[in-house]
Amino acid sequence: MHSIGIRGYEARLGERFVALLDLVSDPARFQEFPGAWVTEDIQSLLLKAAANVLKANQLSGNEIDCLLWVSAIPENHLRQSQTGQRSFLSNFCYSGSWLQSELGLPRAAVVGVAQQGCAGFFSAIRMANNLIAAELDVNHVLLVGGDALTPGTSREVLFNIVSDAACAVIVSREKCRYRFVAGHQIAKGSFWDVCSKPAEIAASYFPSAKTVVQTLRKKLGDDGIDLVISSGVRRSSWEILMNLWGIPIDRCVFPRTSFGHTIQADSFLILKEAEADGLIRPGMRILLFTFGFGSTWSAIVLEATG
Amino acid sequence: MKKRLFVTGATGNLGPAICAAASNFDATLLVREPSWRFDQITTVSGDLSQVSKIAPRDAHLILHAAADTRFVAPSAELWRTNVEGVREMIAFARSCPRLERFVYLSTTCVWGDARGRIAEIACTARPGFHNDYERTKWEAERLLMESQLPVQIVRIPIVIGNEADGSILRKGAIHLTLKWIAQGLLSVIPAHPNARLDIVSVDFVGRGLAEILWRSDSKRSVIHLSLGDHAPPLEEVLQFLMGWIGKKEEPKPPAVVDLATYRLFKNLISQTGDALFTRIYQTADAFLSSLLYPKVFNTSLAERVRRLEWRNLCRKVFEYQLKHEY
Repeated sequence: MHSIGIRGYEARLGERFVALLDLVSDPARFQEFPGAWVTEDIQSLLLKAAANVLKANQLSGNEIDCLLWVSAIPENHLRQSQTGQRSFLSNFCYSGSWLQSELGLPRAAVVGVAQQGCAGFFSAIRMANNLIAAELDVNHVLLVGGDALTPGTSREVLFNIVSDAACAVIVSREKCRYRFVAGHQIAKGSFWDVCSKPAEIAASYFPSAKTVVQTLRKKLGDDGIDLVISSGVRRSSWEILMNLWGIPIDRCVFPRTSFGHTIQADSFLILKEAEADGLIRPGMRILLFTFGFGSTWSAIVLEATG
Repeated sequence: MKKRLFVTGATGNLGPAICAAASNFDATLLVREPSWRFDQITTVSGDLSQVSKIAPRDAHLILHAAADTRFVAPSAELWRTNVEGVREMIAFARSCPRLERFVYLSTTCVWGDARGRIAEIACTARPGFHNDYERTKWEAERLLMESQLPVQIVRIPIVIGNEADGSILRKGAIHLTLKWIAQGLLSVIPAHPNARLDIVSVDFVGRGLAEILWRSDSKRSVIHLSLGDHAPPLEEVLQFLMGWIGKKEEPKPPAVVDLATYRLFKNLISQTGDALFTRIYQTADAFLSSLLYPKVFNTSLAERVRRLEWRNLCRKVFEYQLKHEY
């Protein structure tokens, strides 16, 4: 049994809170969301999260073998050129490369993870795990992911409120707090045109969520899920998911304050609260699930190592 | 000499079946519009409230098939046609001195939320109903059973189309449900794990009615003209539908859930206020909720009536619906 997994993580919401009344025209439909946390500079937020996670885990920049930059929104993969110019070359001003430079990660290979919607971070965790397992000289992979909606964009997306947030995770060969046990994802290319099929995608959410977790549990060979980390989407949708998966609702950890959906950081914001509340015990198998437009349903199982 | 048969409901979904069954008799059809004509069959025009004034009183047999079969409709409208209509027919039947039998076309839906094996008997204890259609048909049966007339109740399940091309005159809740499932819009279905889908063709009902009308020795007061033990499990029908869709596009199989989960799902739709899903589930619910109460209907006579294998029937219905509706 390998010991590769999550060594440390940091997740943080946008710095500025905007109340629900200032976000939507019909707040009665969104009563469980107090509002949204927004940031004007997601890349700085990501830089802070990444720097903190390295420091907290006593890793130098020189020890990082790979940097995975994760973002659902295409624009977030680019950083504005210092020249202020927009040209063909500005398409190559990558955010991941900028972050490598800012953090000082001279040995790190830099890879962008895109086209996964809100499921990008789970894909990155799987990729990091498999990269370490496959290449013996790779020991630490830094994953940095986050998205912020551009000003003026509606924060009501598929019946939920969206907050901005950043997340940074270190996946390492050893000394892991959460061992990566298994992961599975379903991608449905027929839903690539998100604009034309929002109702079909929404309708497909629950059946596909059921299938992805059923398949993952078959991979595990047993049904041992001790805890489920929810996300920031509507609580009632998680009650349905728990029923579909046949897992008692009391094993689901909900956010203390509903921050809405943050695209990449939901699971780690809630995992942090679960740790603070003493809900995580060594040996526990923890299920994380998310859906990403495009469309991808993704689930991973981690094991708390203590 | 042919026996005299008076028929209502010949212009509805089962019209072709009823006309075929009536062809062996000296039949008179009640039609609402005077312009409606049937080859070699006499018609009288009017509605059920006029039947005592316009229908021939020398009938040996009455086949009352007229009904409002909408699962989602104003309660008063359903009551007027399905209950008051039967009351008018009972009054008319009492005025027919030669009447030998009053055959009433009912529905297996009168058993509402009953479960398990259902005998061919009167449904005397009032079950819980999923919609006003079930309730009004149950009330109609009750009136007939109390009428002291020589009543024969023929209960049919869901009629989904004809065997030749899968067409149907008027779509019901099941056609809309199938359409939404095929489109991937109806993705959560409440059903008991043992739920079956008892579905028959227009032709099957026609063959059954012909047999029932022709057999003057039949003393059975309730007959189920359904697939009974041959009704396919819901899961099989869904798999078949997905397999059929899969030949054309990526299938999106729905999740079959229990009542508790379905209630959570409907609550979620209510919270979101989404107009499309609200409309879909309001309509589909009138049909879907019955799947939580699995039943198998005993079928004494239907066993002798030739039936099309359900996959062949479904294939024709899906193809027709795809061509004309989806």
